[in-house]
Amino acid sequence: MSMKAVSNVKTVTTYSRKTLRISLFWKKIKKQQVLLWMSVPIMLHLALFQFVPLWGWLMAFKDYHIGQNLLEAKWIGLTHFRTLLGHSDFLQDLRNNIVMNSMQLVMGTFCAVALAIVLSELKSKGFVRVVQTMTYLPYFVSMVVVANIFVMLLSPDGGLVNELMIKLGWIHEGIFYFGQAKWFWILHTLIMTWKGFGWGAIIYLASISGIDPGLYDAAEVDGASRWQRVKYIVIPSMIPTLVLLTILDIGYLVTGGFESQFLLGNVINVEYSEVISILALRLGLNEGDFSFGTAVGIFNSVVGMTLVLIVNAIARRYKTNLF
Amino acid sequence: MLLHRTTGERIVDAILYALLTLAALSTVYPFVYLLVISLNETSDALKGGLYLLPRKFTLENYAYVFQNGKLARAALNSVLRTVIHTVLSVFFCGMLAYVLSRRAFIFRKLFSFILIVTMYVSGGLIPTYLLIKNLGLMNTFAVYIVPGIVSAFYVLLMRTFFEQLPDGLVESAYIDGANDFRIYTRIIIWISLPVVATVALYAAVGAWNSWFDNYLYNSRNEKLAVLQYELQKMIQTVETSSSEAGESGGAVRIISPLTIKATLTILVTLPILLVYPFLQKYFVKGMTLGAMKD
Repeated sequence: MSMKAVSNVKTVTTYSRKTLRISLFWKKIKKQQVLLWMSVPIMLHLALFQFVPLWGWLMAFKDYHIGQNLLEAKWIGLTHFRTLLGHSDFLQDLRNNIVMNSMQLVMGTFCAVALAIVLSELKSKGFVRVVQTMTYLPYFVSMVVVANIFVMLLSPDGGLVNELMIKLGWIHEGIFYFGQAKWFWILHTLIMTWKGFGWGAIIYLASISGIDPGLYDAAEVDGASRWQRVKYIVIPSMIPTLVLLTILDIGYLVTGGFESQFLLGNVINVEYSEVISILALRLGLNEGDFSFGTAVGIFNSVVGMTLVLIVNAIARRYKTNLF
Repeated sequence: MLLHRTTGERIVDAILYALLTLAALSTVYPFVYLLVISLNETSDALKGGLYLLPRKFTLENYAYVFQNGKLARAALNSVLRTVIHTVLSVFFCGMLAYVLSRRAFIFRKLFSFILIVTMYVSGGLIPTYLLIKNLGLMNTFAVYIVPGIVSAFYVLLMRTFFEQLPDGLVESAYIDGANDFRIYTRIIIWISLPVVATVALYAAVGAWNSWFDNYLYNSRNEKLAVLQYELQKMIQTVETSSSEAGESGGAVRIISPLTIKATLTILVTLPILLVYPFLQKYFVKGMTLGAMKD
């Protein structure tokens, strides 16, 4: 009898706790309805443009043609992905992706670090500021403008570079730089470095300015030369930032790149300029093979996201170990 | 730090100054070169030899661009998309950021999580293209504005800032009977000028510099072209007859005059130069704020 009463009491309390929680929840919702009105439409907008396209990934596993109902298309499993991995254009573009991104990472980092060191070594603050202001500029300018500038400067007829070289007697007629397929990687690296090195130096300058001035004084007392000061104080101070940024960039090594290659590439250098995202565009939209183009896109997204997530996890661990 | 320097150090200094001057000039000179060409008479410019000053000064290239209906229209579109995108982006990203900065908000964790997921997940080019097509946004001005209104990065930047504002501010406004929307539009956004300026500049530069949405979705409707796209179409027309992956195709050899290309490039760069002093200040701020969120 008493046992039953106890168990009865128990169910009553859990039941009422549940209702209480639900009624509290609704009370809260009602109380926060303005906040909900302010945020839910925006979240729906995000879901529409960020998550609904994921539905289209089905295309890659089906034999889909334009105008067809996606659900009715025939399942073909991983056929597209198998074709993809043996596709010569895909392998070529994968190579271009990795090579160009690596070259850009190495060259860009080197120039940004070098600029930061040199800027920090100079005493004239006014000069430093002017140089910084000037070297930042290309970062803010669109890639379209940058591509246009270099295509003009390097043009075979009337481009400044060819004009000067002819005047100096180094060559007799203009060279079509973007027509030399094998030069594309180098040209691309130089252009991207030109665009980003001034901006890239900021973060390294920040770590240099974080150096304890006492270290400099101590080095001077010990009779350290300028080079020794750079080698033993300035460079080590940048290492953590350098490692962190490099780790983060590795996430983009395989799949990064599109705009610059798209704008600077042309029919002649396509073997060296085309990257995977451009392939997805070419196959998917220009040649109308939506399924295969989507498969290329999925490869890019999945590999890219996986790398970024891994790399972020590593960076986070590294960062927490650091600070 | 050093009171007197040795000759060796002076030489090193001189080399460093020279190197930096070279680096700075190499970034700025290409723009100067184009400016010079754009201010020179077309037929004369083709002879070459223009380096620092125009030989036959003229403003006719600029007059041509402004009188050319297509380019003037593109300029208007560029300005419109930049202004509308910037205003709406700041307003809506700020609104979401405000909500997510309220600690009592019931879906705070859930919404923040979804927001961060959008930074990593992307449907890719073709599925997004089909979505835009199915929504009927192809060949509309709205495609420049609607899809990109909310950016997780901007929301996180603004949330970080709002969270640092004193709690009493919102609490006392509640007591005075204001609701959250009023608090956001009348108080928060106005006292958060640094972060608003940062996001506005990011958004404005991004919108001004974009061209790919035009290429992808609006290339069939000339009236919707933006300046960057007009410039993009010119890039390879001189060099190669057809552009890779471009819809233009064919072997038509359109030669756009050198001076017009230079003029358009300068005009597209000019607005960036105008806001440049602010850019420097607030972009750096954005970068450091962005770094903090991790």
